[in-house]
Amino acid sequence: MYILGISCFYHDASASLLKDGKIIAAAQEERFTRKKHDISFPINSIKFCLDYAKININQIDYIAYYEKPLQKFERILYQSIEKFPFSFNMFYRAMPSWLNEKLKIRKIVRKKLGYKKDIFFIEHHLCHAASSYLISPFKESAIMTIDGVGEWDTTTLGYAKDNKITINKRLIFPHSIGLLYSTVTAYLGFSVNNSEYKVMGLSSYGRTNKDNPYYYKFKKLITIKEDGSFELDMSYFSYHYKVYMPSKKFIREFGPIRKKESRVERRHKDIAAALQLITEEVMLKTLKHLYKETKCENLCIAGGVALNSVANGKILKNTPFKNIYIQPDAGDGGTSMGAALYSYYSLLNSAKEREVLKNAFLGPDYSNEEIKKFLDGNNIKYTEYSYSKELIKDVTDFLLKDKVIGWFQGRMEWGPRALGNRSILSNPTNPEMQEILNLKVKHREKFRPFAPVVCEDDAKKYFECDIPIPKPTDFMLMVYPIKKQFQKEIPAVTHVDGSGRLQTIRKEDNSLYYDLIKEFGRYTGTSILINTSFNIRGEPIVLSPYYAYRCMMGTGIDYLVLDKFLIKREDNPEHIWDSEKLAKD
Amino acid sequence: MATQVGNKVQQFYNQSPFPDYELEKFNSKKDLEIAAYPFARILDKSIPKNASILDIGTGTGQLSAFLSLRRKCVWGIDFSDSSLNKAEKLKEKLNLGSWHLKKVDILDINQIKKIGVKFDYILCLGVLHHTGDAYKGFKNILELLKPNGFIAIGLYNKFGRIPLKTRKLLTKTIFKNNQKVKDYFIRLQIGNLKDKERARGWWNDQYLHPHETTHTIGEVLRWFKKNSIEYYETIPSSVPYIQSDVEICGVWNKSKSPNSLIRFYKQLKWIHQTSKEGGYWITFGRKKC
Repeated sequence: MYILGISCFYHDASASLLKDGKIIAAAQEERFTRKKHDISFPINSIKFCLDYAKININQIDYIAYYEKPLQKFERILYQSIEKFPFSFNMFYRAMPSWLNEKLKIRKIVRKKLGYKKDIFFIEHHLCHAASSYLISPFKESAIMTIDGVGEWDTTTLGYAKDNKITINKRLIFPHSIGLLYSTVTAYLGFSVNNSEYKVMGLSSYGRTNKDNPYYYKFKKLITIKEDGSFELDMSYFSYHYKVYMPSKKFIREFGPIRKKESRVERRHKDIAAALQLITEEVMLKTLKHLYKETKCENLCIAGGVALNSVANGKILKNTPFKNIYIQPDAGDGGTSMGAALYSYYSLLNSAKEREVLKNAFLGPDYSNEEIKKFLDGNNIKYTEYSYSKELIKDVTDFLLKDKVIGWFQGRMEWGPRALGNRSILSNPTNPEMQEILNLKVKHREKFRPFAPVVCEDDAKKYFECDIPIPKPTDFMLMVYPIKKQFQKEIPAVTHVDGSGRLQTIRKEDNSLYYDLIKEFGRYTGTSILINTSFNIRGEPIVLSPYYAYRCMMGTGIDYLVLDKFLIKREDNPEHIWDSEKLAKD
Repeated sequence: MATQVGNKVQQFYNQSPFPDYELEKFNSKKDLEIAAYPFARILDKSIPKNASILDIGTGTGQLSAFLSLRRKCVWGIDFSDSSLNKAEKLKEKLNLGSWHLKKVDILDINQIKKIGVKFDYILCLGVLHHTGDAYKGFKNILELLKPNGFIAIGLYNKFGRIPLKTRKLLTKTIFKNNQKVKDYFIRLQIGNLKDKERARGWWNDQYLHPHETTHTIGEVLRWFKKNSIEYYETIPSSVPYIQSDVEICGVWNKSKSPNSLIRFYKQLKWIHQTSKEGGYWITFGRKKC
């Protein structure tokens, strides 16, 4: 049985294909259209899913959509009426897309895809819950979903056993930790629904204890109760009737808004730190309450806020939960997968045994011949390796010389992080590497750290992580403190507060990558590499050899490894162009 | 095609077979697959594996050869000997048993009747506008279509062809033999010039062809009506609302035929939209039983 999950028209459009309960292909639309956080109907992702499974649309048994559009429409109308006439602008801007697209999902799916069978519409937060739990290894689990807003819900608590997911408690709009985070993101001069992770990175520079005066200011606008539920004082916000911007009252309390690209002051760092403190407080209190209610040691979380890896790293230490699972794309992109999974296991009850997601490599891949054809067709000079050992040896050599490597292998990752198939790698032991990377490739803000990748068996040597190491570290979703004695050894990936966003890698998932890290460790004594996504700032991660090559030639990446082909920058000087101008927020 | 136009066209194709390619490029069936154009892949997806196909004006046969890879019965007919010779060579080289080639003049009803086989699918892409009598050709080929069979007709559009006709006039009158202008015009249509053969093929086909006619959507709709062919859709789309995605749904999707106002509006748009293809558009239909 094939089920296709679709998510679109809000942010991060994506499609996932399920074959008899197993996810065989999934991808975000942004990678194909090259528009970051693309929201359009994910036609390219769907094409990829069908092509990958070698089926046509008539073989799809069900299509699952990630929300209930009418309920959401009801909320929009309610918001508009409540704050009329201030809400008129929002109403006026939102209506065309509601009338042309969002309320016509059924028609669009039928027409565009020529699909004739049933379509399921599944509640947004249920999709989140399913996206995490139904691919986790747990037989039963407590579930927390937390994001901006779905139809009405902003935070839900639930419990799942076997294939049955129930949501027991919910907080509804406008009280939302996700929207609070987004508002502060806008206030700090970053782009909403995109740069929240920058605020998270910035938070480590501020005062992360309760001496931070902004913590008390935040306390004025949010009332957190013992069970973790909270209430926002809506006079500080305007997202419920306008754009994601703080109200005048908020600005009076916190000072003027930071302009885009202007200097980051101490005040901004403190605000980010206080916001992070509040978020963690809410999350941890909620989770403690959830444990009390469910008495279950397993935890699945999902939703946009579950991408807050700093908070995630603190969960097992500070709550009674013993095991945690988060799916690679915990944000809205992941809901297409959740919708399909929920349809198969819970609605149709098609199977008892669930398939655990082994790794996040679910996207398109390119065969040796295709890559070769691309390279030959564009007169690109390259070296082909027959043995991976030789390739690893040479790449290690380059890494030791502080070169920057574009690493392109196999299937593209699912989710917002590059996990070793579309990555840029470099040497973490050089203290200047962060600056070199920023200068050569990423052109990103100075305060943003780079992430380390470690073999799973070495992780506990370098990090003060939970033991056993939770699965979400494979997806770069947990931040842990780096052990004191190693902080100086790997300065390029040690954040200002001594932490690192850990990514672990297992041999069975990606053996070439694993071997490379080990080989690097043999020479330096430190089996860690810098792993950052293969893109320029503001662009989606590269999809195909063409975009990888383009990215390399537009930046300062020295070597590109496409499968078993090595491309040297100095061999192909005629293709170089300047990418700095392309870097966006 | 014993007419003057017919002779001219036949002579032209004998001198420059179309689509031209180097036989050495194809050493195995896989090469044929790699070289297939996106539209050929879409057609391959849209036509069931057990269907029989007739490709009219197959030329050197790249499309029909590709379609025959996964099918039992694919015919390619043409009236140029040298094109067919090249196709025969390809057939022998790759050992394509399910691909049949035959010399037929579609304006001669006797030759058509001699074929004696009827097909599920008829593709007549970019042929009728070079025959001298497009409607007669269209009527004749319907003889070969089974009831409930599908048909695709590719023609030059009266509106869409305007930019190319202008360029053609310019090269004939002002920029005589100016290689730079010629290169620029080819680049406009096919992107890069690295593929010399393709560039030459395009130039011959688009700028040096001895005979071409242009047609409108309305005309084709009337042909369909007269011969009880049901209209399905066109590529590019001739309706203003969402159209099915051809890569997923295939190309034979039933939709409402556009009225004259919409047709006019859409064809005006095609002047820009199809300028790359020289105003080329395809109409899909199905024979009523």
